[in-house]
Amino acid sequence: MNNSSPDIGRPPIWADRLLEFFCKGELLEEVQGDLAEYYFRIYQQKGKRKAGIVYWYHVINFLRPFALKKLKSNSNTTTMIRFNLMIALRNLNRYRFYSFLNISGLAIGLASCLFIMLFVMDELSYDKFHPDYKRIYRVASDLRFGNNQFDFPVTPAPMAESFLKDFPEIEIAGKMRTYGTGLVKKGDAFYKQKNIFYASQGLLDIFRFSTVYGSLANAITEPNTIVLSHSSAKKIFGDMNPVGESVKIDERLTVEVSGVYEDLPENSHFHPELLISIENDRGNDNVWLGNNYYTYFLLNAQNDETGLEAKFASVYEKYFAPQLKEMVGVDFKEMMASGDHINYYLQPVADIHLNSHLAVEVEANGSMEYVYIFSAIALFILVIACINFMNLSTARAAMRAKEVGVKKVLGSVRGQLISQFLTESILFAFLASVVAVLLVVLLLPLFNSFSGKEVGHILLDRPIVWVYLVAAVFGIGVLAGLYPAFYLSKYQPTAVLKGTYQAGSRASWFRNVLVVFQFATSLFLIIGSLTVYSQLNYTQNRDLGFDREQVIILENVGNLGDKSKVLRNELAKNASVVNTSISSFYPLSDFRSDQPFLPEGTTSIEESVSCQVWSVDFDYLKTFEMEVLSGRDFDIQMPSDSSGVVINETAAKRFGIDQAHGQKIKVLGEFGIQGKKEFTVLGVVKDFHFESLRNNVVPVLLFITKYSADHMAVRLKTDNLSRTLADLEETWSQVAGGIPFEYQFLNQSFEAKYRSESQLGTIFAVFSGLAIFIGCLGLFGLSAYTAERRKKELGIRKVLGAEVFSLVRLLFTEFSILLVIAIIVAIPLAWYAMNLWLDDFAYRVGLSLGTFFVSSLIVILVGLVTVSFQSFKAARSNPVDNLKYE
Amino acid sequence: MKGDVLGEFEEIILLIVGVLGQDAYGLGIRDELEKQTGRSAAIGAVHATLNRLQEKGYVESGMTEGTQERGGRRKRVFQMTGLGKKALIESKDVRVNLWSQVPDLNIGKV
Repeated sequence: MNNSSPDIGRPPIWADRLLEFFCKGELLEEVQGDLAEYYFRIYQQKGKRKAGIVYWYHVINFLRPFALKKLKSNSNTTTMIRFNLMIALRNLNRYRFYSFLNISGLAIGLASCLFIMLFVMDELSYDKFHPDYKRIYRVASDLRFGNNQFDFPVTPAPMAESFLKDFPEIEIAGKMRTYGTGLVKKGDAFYKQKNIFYASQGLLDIFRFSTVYGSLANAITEPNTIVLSHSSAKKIFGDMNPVGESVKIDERLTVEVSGVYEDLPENSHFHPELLISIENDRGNDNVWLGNNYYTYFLLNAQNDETGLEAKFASVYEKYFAPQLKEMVGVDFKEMMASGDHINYYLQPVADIHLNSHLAVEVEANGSMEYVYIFSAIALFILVIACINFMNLSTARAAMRAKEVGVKKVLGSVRGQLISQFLTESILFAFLASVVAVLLVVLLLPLFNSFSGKEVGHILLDRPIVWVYLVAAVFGIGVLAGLYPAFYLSKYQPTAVLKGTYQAGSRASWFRNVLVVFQFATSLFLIIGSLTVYSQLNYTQNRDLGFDREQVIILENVGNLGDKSKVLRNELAKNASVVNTSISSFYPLSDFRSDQPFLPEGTTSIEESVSCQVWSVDFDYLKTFEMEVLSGRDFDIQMPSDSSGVVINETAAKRFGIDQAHGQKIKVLGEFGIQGKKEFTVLGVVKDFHFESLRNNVVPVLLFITKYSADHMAVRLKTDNLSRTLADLEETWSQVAGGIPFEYQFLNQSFEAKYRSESQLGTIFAVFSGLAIFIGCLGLFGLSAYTAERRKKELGIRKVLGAEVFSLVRLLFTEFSILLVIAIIVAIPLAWYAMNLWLDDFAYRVGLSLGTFFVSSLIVILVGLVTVSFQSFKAARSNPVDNLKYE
Repeated sequence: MKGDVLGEFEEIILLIVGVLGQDAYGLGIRDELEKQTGRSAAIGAVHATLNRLQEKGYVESGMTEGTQERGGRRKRVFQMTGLGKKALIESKDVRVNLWSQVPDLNIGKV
């Protein structure tokens, strides 16, 4: 070996450090020696690089049990931690009752928080699974036309292609249009298919769904081609590869499958299940005045929507002016000058779910507001649970005081005592978190069912949850332990050991503040949930302007064609059927169509009223039992009624019509409705609600159509619903051939419409219940402690002749004062917050005194019942037992 | 007790300690193992085995002076103990005994 070589270098320094870090001291020298010797040998044979790698390999290879430093080594820190843990475990075991209260309270709190965190994480994760989600935007409209404001996420058909040409910032443009629900026919079998859209190839290119069969590149560029989701493909074709197969949609469109994509995950703002090539929907290609298409852009640069948005305005005139002039007879510049506006803006795709609340969203979205509310509730519950912990620890101070005193006499300094108490609280928090995780796993199905979500997968997919949990354990452990630690370690050993120290007296005001806070929070949550419930109750029992009981909506009627009339006649023979009406428009359906109208005697666009235009048939009002306020219902005997309309109260107000007596209204623009431009107002119908009660009722116009529609409303009058339904089904199958019999109850669809409110109600109720339960656990512990502390006093009082009742009252008074203060604090806050929430609703309940009264009563009752357990026990005990030891 | 059984790798390492005599230290043993059996072991594996043998009392060790190629570090030199020798002999006896009972392997017949 060449000993004289000075440039031989040294083994990799980090590998050496690693070795020094883990290897036992007595082994280190020989091991390092051997490794170094080997390193230099390889160095000379094969060079530095190779030697370095070999050195690392052998170092890592030394990670064997025999070589590791022993943790039991005589380091001060490890000894202390072990010692602290041992003391903590002994304490836990010795005061099992308090440990149980502490850990269970904290565990329930943590479990609630975990659930809410899963919920919130799920809400926040929407649409972030798309590879390019930061560059994907949807276009939304903010239009003002006459006196009518329109906000919706749909745009004119030509926008995608035109803007793609105009703006180089746009890399890919895609669009889709709702088709809705259809019947897919394969061979002779029918399959009901929801969430059908017309879509451009651009949409597939932007979102890049994962392919299951076939290819999604150029999959729907040709007319009569479709792609569909994996679950739909399975439903229709079974497990085979359906690419190249033909199906018929709604008996009129024969299409070929060119690809199958993986179903979109639950956290997507849309779930298209079948996409038909947009080539089959070319009718609106040049129409800028209608908004029916969801337009998506993939931009070149991330988060650059503002620069592009500003440029949109530059092309509006080019596209809108000619059509405005030609079809509506309005000059673009004049229109803008009169205060109207056209404004299209971009929504980042990941913002849609929580921040977009426009009309005609693809699916019902979530709400950022609820994310905040739930997060706040989670925080409240956690704080309540932590307060329990602090209260119980300080209250027990008297029992621990002697321990602290003895330790101090034996030389413990304060820092050591603090670290001992902190170890204890971290241990408690850790045990609570273990219980909490078990609770979460056990209760997951329950939570999923009442929140309407699937959140369990987040525990596995997002390891960050566990990081949060560990952080929470230490955070809670330290925060909740800090006050007791400082408080307990403060004792003067002489005072404590002589027995002159009255523990707990100075800390009691702080404890009382915490109890007040706990109960104020619980009360706040109870008032919150009662208010949410009463609002919910109000919306569900409100007079909606139509009778939603005993109405079923038959679907697939459009597929019957002319046979729908036969069906109607057959159904009329059934004694349980009161009335039937065929229309795609009914309260609660999502089918919508808007058109501006001019009241009699006006011509200018400023005076136009935008109305929902519902095409119905003669029996519509009768079937839904809507009330005619003035004028009359449609009459099948009057042929001229085909150019008549029935309008709702809101429309009447906007048109300035008091009593309907044949006033005329005119369609604004070139095109009429079914060839007519002028309509006679036959009657005014009482306002009926058809959207969430968060919205005001908008003007609605009903007119008679000669075309068939997809739904038939059937009003029943029956005591035996299942029998009637069976009869209906039989009638249907006689008329309809293979087309499936499908229906929904109107009242059930109504409840589905309010699902988000009723979920909020449930979640509020469950968590406020938990909050007060946790608070009571703490109160229970505290009252037990108070009774224990005062048992000698109670004994003496009893010997001197006090009644059990007066003793109980004595103990009650202390807590009653706290509860009253809590009520005084919570009520104004709750009043303010709930008013804020209710202001969102166009139709809302008032806040009643009753709610506040009942909530306060609940808190007082629950609190006092909790306290009374211990109070009665103490008051009824034999004074001799309490007094004989002294 | 598990501790009394001599594993195969332990047996070989123990034999090599015997073969090497004065120069039986970690890396030297590893080199000899490679030379004699063609097996290449990690240095850590050799150290671990030596550690185990020492715990069982089959070898004893002492430190020698450091050399320059080791960066001046000393090496631990191992030496077989009487107990180690006994364990090797027992192990060999067991094997010879078993060998003689396997008819096909009867060395005398070959």
